Amino acid sequence: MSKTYSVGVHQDRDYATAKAFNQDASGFLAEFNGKLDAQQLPYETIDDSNMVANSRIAVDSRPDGSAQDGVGVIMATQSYFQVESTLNTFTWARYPAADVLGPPLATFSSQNNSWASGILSLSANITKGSFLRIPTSEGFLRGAAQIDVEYFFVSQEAAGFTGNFGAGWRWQFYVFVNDVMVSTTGEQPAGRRRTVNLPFAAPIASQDSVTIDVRWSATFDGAGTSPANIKLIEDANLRVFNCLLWARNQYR
Amino acid sequence: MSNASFNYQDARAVITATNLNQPFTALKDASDGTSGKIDPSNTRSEAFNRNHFKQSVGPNVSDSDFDSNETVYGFNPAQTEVFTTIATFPVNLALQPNDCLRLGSNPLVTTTSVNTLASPLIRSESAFYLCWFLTIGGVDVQIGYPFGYNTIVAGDGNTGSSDNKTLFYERLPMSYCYLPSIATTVTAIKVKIYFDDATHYRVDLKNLYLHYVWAKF
Repeated sequence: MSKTYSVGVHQDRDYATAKAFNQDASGFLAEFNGKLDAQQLPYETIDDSNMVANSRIAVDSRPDGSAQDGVGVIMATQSYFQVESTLNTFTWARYPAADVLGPPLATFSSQNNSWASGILSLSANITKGSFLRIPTSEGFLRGAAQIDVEYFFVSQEAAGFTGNFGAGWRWQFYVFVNDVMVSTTGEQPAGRRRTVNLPFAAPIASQDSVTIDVRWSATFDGAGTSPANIKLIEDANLRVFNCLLWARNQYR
Repeated sequence: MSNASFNYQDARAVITATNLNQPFTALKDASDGTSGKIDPSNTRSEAFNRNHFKQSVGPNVSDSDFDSNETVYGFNPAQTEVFTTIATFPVNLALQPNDCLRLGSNPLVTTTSVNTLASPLIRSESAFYLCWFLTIGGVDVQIGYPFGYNTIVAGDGNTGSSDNKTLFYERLPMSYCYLPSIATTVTAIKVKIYFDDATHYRVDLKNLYLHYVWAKF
C-alpha cells in the first residue's frame, strides 16, 4: 500500500526548515516516481484511451500456412480472430432449373467413395472459414464455428427404402482446439439444408500457435442400402456452403 | 517516463519561495501533461486490476428484438431475390480501427408450406438465407456472407411429396465479429432474410435475441 505522511507539522508563523522540507518533498515525490498503487487510482476510470492502441495481424487460415486470410485484433485485455468464406452470389444453377447461393465450397459425393472414413479436416477442401492458427495469452478461448451444410441423399421412390429423415444417414461437425475436440453438433440427420452454429470454450496457455480446426464426418449406413433398392438422385452429396470461424482469447 | 524531482535543501539554508514551491510545480507538470502524465513508470507492478476498467455503457441488448413478436416472411413474391430486414437494432457506435463489434442473434423459426403449385416444391424454391448488415452513413452495408436454410425438412426435396412439411420452433443461432480497419460510425445493426423464391413458403420468425458486444480494449 502506497501512502506518505508529513513529518513536519508547521504552525502559524513557523518557517520551513530544510529537514522538514526535504523529508516531505522526498516522501510524496518518491511515491509519485513509481510507487503509485491501486489505492491511488480511482475505480472504473481506465478505458481504451489509456491503453496501447489495438493492433491488427493476419493469421494462418490453412494448416500448411499457404494462406493468411484470418484477421486478428490484439487488444490490451483480449484478442479476437476471425476467418470467413465469401460465397455471395445467387447464381448457381441448381437442379432442376433455379439459381441459388453457390456453387458449394466443398462437395462430397456419397456415391463415389469421395471421402475417407473418420473425422476429416474441412480445411483440406475449404481455404477460408474453417481453420485458424493464432497466438494466445494464458486465459480462456471462446468462439464459434458457423457452417452452412446440406445432405440430401436418396429418393423415396426407391422401393422399400427408408433412408430419409430419421434413418441412419448422418453428418456431424466438430471444433478441435490443438487437436482436442471442444464442440460438436452430434450426429445430425440428412434430409435438409441448414446452418449450424457451434459455440466452444476452452482454457488456453500462452502459445505462439494454437490451432482451431473445424472437422466433419458423415455416414450412410441406413437400412436398404443395397444398390438394387436405391434410386440415386442427381445430387446425392454432402455439400458445404459458407463457413465462419471466430475466437476470442480473454487474458487471465 | 513521467517522474518529478526536487531541489534538496541544505541544512540551515533559508528556503526561498521558489524552492519551496518547486516540488509541487514539478508534481503538477509531471502529471497534467506539461512535461508528462502518469504512466507505467509511476505505478507499482500489478497496480491495476479489473475494478479500474471503465464499464461499458449499456444496454447492448435490444429489448424489442429480444422479445419480438412473430412476423411472417416469405409467401410474398416481392421478397424474392432481395434482402428483407427482419431485425433492426438502432445504435450509435463510433467504432475505432481494430475495435470488435461482436454480434449475435438467435431467431425462433417456424416454416410452413403454402405451395399452390400443381407439383411439389423443389429445393431451389424453398431456401432462405440470413445475413448481417450494419447501417453506416445511412446506408445498409452487408457484412459477412449469407448462411442458408431449407424449408423442406424431410425427403430428398427434388421429387415426391416432400414439400408438405412444417418445421416448428427451431432456433437459428448466428454470430459474427465485425473488425473494422478504419473509424466507422454504426447507427443500426440489422439481420436480413433472402429468398431464392419467396412464393411457396412462409417463414415465421420471433424472439430474435439480437445483441452485441463492443470490445475496445
